[in-house]
Amino acid sequence: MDAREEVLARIRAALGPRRERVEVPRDYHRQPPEGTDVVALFAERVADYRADVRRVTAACGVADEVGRVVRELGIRSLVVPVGFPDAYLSGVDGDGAGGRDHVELRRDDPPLSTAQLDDSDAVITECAAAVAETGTLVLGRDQGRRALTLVPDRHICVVRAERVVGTVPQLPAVPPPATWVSGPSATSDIELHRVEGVHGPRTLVVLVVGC
Amino acid sequence: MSTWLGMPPFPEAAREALADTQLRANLRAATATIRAKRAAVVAERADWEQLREAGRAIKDRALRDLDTHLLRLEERVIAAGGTVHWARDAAEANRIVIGLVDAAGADEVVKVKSMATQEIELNEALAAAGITAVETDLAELIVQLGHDRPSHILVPAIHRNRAQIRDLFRREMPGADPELTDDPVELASAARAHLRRKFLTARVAVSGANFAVAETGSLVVVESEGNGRMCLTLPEVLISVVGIEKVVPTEADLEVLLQLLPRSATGERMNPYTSLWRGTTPGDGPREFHLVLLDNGRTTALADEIGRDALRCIRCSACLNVCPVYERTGGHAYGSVYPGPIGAILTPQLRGPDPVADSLPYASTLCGACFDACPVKIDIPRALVHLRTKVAHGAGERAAMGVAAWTMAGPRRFALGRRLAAIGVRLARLPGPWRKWTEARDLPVPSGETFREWWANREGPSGRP
Amino acid sequence: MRVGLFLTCLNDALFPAAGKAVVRVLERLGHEVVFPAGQTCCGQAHFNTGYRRECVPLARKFVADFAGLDHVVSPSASCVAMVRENYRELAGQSPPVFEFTEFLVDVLGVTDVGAAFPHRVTYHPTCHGLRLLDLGDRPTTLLRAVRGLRLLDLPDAAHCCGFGGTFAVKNADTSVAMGTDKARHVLSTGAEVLAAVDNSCLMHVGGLLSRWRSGTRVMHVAEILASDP
Ligand code: SF4
Repeated sequence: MDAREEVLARIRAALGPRRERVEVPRDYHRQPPEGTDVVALFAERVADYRADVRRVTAACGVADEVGRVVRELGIRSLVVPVGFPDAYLSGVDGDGAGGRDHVELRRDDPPLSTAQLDDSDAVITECAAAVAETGTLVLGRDQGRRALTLVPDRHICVVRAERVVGTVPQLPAVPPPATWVSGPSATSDIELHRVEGVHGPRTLVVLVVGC
Repeated sequence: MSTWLGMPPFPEAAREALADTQLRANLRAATATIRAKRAAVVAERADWEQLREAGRAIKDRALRDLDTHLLRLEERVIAAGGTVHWARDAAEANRIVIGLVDAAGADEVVKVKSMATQEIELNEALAAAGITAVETDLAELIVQLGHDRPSHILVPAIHRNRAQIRDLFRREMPGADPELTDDPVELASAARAHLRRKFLTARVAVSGANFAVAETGSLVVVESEGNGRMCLTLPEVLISVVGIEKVVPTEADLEVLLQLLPRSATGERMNPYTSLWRGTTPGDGPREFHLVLLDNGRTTALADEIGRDALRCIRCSACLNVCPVYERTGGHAYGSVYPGPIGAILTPQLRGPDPVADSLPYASTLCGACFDACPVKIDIPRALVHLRTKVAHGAGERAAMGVAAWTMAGPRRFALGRRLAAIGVRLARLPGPWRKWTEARDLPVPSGETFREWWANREGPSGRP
Repeated sequence: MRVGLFLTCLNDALFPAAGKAVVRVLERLGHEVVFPAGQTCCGQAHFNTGYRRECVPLARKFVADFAGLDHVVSPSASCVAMVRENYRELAGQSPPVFEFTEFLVDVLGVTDVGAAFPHRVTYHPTCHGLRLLDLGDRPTTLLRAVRGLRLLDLPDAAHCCGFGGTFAVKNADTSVAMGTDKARHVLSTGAEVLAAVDNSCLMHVGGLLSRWRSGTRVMHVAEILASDP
């Protein structure tokens, strides 16, 4: 018998012929408590992870805020995934003639090498969905390759308010590969004290758009 | 990393650990911190008990039809471009992994922390085959650099404090700053710098998985640092070694388990990173994905109607953090990669009888704190008592327990036994195994009338039956 | 009410005061206590040490000894838990056993037994009382009503004392380490008396307090509740 057959045979022998049916009770909460302002809660919970959270009330303000973040953080090279809205980048001096504020926009088309990513100051993405209760961003395929949000040391994420749900069970299906991000990279390995920033981006900036 | 071979049974190992005052202080501080964090985020959820009950049922449902779910998982992973391997035991799993690394032409792999690969001692097997395994989780790195053993499921270096870690980094980490301080932020940065190049150049990665979804073929890794994402994303070949009990039937099951795990584990509402992937994806991540499904004793546990509950475990380590025994002895005393309450019921089942495994079900007062904390409601005390019936009892103990039971079964014999006990406790030092009591503790010496004398002689309103 | 007393083997041999106290309190409240003289042991030590088979005759004997009684009261949370959790499986039925404070509060509806005890007391909720029987604040409610008694909060009260039955000798070092922490917390309260509803745990912590000549003694909650005004 090969390993597969043998393991399956062992399982069948262990379980016996009569198998009890197990029902999964799903009476845990699917909705956030009534009256919850999910967008405000999301902003608060992400901030709890020591992410830099900024609220932009109107979509037209996003570009300005992105420009401001890029300047404040001194970002000179910014990775941009395929499909990221150009309108959000108009506040970044990406096409200038190499002046003092010039920012190199590195589009992932053709795909950037890992070395290029490692050499980039930051990445900017949207998210597929976000969870208020846990302060979680969900990144899917539409937000670009996984390496883009991993290798650069700073991640700027634009979150449209309508993509924020209250609870984990309310999350829409996001086909894999997907990454759930809750705050910047962190570790609790030293005396169980949380330290932000190990291998993933050490800075996470979240721009919440709309209310 | 040193192996667990040649460890003494729990009582002796514990005796040594208890004498290590630094260890005691480190554990006391760390477990108190994590207990408080867990309590706070669990209290936030009014539906915690419903979530636990759902978590229990999800894992039970998966286990009750394990073959069906594994076959579906296999089919979905293959359909998504992955390859599935089956391993009966540790040796077979190690052989498979070594073969895959060889085929990729690599002599080094990066690893994300995984209990399954520790259980099968994959690093040692790889080393014997001339392959270097680089542990990338901060705590695993601390353990590896210290030629040490992990002492906790989630925080393997919980037994070390920041000063000890700084000393270790200065001594063992190539290129470490000799001025490195014990600030955890600096220590984490040192690890980042040390591992960065490894991540960017590694061709093969080895991981485990927290969950594998049968319905969709998705695998899930829950982590904090981003080293997991590095391993799962950057190399060309990804090998995931996953215990067969990690399969869950449906994608909807994740909405429960991914809420239970981080709150129980690190006391966070959600862990920083959760990766979900399915086979391979063109243009994103590894071009080859291998899933190694591992038995290694799990089917033996599955055959035991009480012992199988241990297979529900999602390795959150909440039971360790609340365990008063673990808090004092630390993890090494359990002589296994699985320490604490869950280790005490899992190790004997996965490994079969030996002196260490036989001592583990007794490494508990049955206080029940673990059961209360467990997110999938494993009744660990019940399993401990059950496993105690199965281990080899010493001839002396067996005889003594037999005599005691016989004495208790007859009122006249019991009367004699009571009198002997009352005389016995007058001895300052008890004989036999009871000596262990009087080494540190006095015994109460009853004075005056016994209850029965008092009952017989008094004139109370209650009569004798 | 006619109430059976299950004394437990440990109390029978070493702690007569607990049984006497239960009888006094129940009689003071006007109930009739029945003490089946043939009773011995619930089998807990055997069961928990892995001698399940040896336990079956003891469980059957218990059921026979207390047959016909609607209420059996015991001054031991762990023995009550043993009967309640395991007798259906071991002996085919689950006798109506109650831990003493649980019986007073839940069955008799009494929270003040009219006792007086002018001392500083701290209370350790034993694991089986806390987690298996869910005694909650029943014992402390009764203690708070005692005249003159000052109840002091025990730090880390819910942590196990380290007794654990045969654990106390099989893993004596760990047991003593745990007991030491418990005893230290007891002393930190400044209490004269450590009270609990299990004499087994009290024997362990009390054994340390006595060996250290600490000046703090242990008492079963029943003994305090039986103290005359
Ligand atoms: S037994 Fe329960 S509490 Fe312990 S590690 Fe497993 S899931 Fe967590």
